[in-house]
Amino acid sequence: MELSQKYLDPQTLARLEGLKLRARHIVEGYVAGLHRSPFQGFSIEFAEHREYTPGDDLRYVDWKVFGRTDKVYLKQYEDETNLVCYLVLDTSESMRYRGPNAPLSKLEFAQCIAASLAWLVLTQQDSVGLATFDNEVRHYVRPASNPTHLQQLLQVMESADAGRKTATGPIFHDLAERLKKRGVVLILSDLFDDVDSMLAGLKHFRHRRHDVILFHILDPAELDFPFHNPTMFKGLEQMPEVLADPRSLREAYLREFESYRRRVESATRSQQMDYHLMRTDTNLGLALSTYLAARMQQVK
Amino acid sequence: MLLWGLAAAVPIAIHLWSRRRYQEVSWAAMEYLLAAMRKNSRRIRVEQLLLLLVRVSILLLLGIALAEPFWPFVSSLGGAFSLGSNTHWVLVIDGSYSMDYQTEGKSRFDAARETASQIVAEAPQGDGFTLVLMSDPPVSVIADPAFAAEDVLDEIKTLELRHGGANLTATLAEVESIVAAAHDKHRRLEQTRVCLFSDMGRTTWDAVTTPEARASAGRLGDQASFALFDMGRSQAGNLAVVDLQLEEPLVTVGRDVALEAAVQNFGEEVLGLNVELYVDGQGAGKQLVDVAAEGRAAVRFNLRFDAPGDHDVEVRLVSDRLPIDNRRFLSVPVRESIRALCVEGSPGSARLVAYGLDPFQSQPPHVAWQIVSESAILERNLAEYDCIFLCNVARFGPDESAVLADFLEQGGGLVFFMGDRVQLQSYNEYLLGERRVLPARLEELAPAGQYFLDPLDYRHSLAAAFRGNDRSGMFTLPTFRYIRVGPIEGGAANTALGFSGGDAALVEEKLMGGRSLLVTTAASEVSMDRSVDPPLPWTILPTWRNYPALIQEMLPLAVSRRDERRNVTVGTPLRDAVDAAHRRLPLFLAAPSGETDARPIPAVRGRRVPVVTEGDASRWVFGDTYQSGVYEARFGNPVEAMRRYAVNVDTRESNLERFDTELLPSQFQTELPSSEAPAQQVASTRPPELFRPVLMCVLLLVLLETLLAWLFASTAYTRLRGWMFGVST
Repeated sequence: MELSQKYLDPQTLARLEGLKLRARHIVEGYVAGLHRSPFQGFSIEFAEHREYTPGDDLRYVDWKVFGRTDKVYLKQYEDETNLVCYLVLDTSESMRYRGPNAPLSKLEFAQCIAASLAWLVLTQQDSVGLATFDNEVRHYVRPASNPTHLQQLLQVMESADAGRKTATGPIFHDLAERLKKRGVVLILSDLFDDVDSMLAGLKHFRHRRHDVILFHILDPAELDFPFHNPTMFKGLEQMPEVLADPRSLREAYLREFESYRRRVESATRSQQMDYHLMRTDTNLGLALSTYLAARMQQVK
Repeated sequence: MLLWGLAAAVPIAIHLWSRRRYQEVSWAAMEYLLAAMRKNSRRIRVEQLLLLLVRVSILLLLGIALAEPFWPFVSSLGGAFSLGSNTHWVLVIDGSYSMDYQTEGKSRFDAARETASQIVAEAPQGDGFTLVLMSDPPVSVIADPAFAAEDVLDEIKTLELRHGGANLTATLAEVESIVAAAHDKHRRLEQTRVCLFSDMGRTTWDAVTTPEARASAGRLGDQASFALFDMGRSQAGNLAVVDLQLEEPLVTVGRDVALEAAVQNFGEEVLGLNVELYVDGQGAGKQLVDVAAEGRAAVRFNLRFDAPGDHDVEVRLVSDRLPIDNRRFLSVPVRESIRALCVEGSPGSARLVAYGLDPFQSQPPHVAWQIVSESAILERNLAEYDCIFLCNVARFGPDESAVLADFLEQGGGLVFFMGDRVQLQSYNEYLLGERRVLPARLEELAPAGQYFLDPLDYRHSLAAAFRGNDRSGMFTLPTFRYIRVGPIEGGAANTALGFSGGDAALVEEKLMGGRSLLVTTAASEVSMDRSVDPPLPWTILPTWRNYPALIQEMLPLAVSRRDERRNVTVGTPLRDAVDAAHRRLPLFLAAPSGETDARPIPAVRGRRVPVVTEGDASRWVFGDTYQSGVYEARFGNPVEAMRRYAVNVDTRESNLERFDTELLPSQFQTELPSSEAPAQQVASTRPPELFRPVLMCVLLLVLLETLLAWLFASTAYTRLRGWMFGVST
């Protein structure tokens, strides 16, 4: 099967058409595009100077001019720059899980999202890169805006071999260091790892002024715990086996899990990251388009 | 059946088996599952054990419930009690009127009914009840065991106290037959419990010491257990009007008559009280009388009736705690005159008797007499007369014998005088038949001689009237001829006067409904002894100036039973003949209401009573006389004629002395339940019924299991637990 057919569901792509992935925060870009540049006054497309009037934002004061002339002028420009999007895909063993009611495993679902978004970013002439990781960064593809770049990304995704334990904290630190150019960091993971370490890693991204979008990929079984009969739970990622009566444990598990998820959500939101929960049983296209539409509203 | 208990092992097996059977799944979010298990493992184990325990208990109890009837241990423990079986409750309530004794506004009878109702209400479903009113005779209100408690309670509620006594022996026999019949018919009623509710009055319970009652109690004791409810523990005194009668048996218009009432004090205190007299419901007198402790006082009233017809007289005491015996009634038929028929066998032989009947020739006459010949016996309607004097009638035939017997049956008085025409053989042949009208057998003519009347120590009431008048001539005037009489086998004749030779001069006997007197000599000097020369009269007594006094004594004696049926005791049927004039009219009998303050005669129309006509005579009988008071027979609708009858209590029951319970047969010697909380005591002696409680527990456990299973899985429970034990969520 063609890789593009595997990950780029035509229906999903059809839904994405017309939507633009916009950085909520202003990101640095090479090309004037749809995205506002953070370099206010230093833009290639300098517009004009204007005399300061009370009420104007002091951020736009041209201090150099003030230093030279003692006159307060504001630098004015409205520029668009191109976007760099980093797709960070978790390929650890836990992502391989596919619950009884899910059509895809979490990894497959994440791959679909990654492919769709890559396609979208490339379609709008922005650059997209990819990093896959489990307990270390397995592959790293530099960002590029070449339309043929998509095929390369898909091949890397395909070669991702899920099978090791996650170690998100060090990975995120590592990646934050690697991704020099500020852009949108799209993380696709179930985030089953030590929460504190993971959050520290995520903060690093923010520290590097990246716009972080977190797609928390979860299987419906993990959210609903739909088991009734006595079950032997075989842990992935070197976790032990456990025999349990799901009926008596359901409440407690759901409480534990929800508490974990809320903690992740609130921590990421407090860091002004974009947290988005993705159930693998939802319609991928619908979920993505809804999310992007909402995001577009926020950016505007 | 106990093997059913092994079913209890099933949940354990399922529990173990379920631990072996499980599905395997890979699981990514293991960290959170492990955390949940860590925090809840202890609770889950407790909950699971609790559920297992409940499930095991359900099956174990179900097994016990199924096995129970055959469980040798429990059945041997129960002894006489067979578990799971039902009880036949025989409720015997004392219906003697002493049970009407009131304490704090409630009678012992009411208390007995309440206790019985309580037992019925508290008895388990499936028990049968029979109900017997211990009266005389006993009444089986429910003879066949009834299983609907509501119906039994209704019957107990409508049970009425009778104004009579109680027949313990007959009641025990009745209970015995009920128990035997129930045993045959309802096999599942394996136990029988006889509950006796009585005030333990001596009048009733003295009978328990008789061999008959003891035997009956013994037989019953083999089949049933007794519970004796003593309703009469409070010590009681009582006052009662024990007697009420007129001095003269027959009352005529305009003539004073004395009424004598006897008041008995059964208590131990001297009491002064008012005795009130009512005539036809109107107050007619009041007397204050002191009655000694355990003594009797007589109260006399003088009465005069101005109108003929039936009148009712009532003597009433101030109400005490037992009101039934505070009233006594008398029905007084007042006549224009007493009607007497003097039949003479020879001319003049009844003349002196007739004169003696109304010596003062008052107007209207106290006694209206007629002298007729012997043929009138068949020609006249004898029912119109109160007394018939048969003087020197030569002979009787079967027809005469029959009408005279009818007359006696209606309470009439017959007085036979002998004489020279009397044919002994004819008398003996026809008057001593099946319906005997003669008090003695005529044997022979006594030999000629001089005989004098002998008062026989004034033993007889008739002779007693002449006590102290030895010189009046009565005992000194000679009789020359008389007929010797001999006793009749099985007869109960009394000799009122004798002759000096030792033979009887005047014999009287109650026969059928009336009384018959036989004077063995003549009623006049017309009867002559012609065997001597010159002929001598049989007797010269009739010529004695005080002879009318003797006739005046004989008349009341002869008619003393004329109105006897107008006054009966409770339980004795009312019976009377119907005049030819009223024979075709419907007869209604109005009975008293039973309420002690009510007017004696109720205004209601009454119950229709059939009149039976046999030949020329018509009669009616009314048996339901279990309330004291005045009953009124009403002929026709509207009423054309009426007669009144007084029904009084048998005052033996007024004596509230208690029977010594130590003398009770052993069967009754169970612990006497107190009247305060008897039902519980009886219930506590009942065998423990395990079947139902066990099933009830099973039901409760099934509910509990469902509830627990739901609860353990519910969010509310988790929150509650978190709130109670501070588990963070």
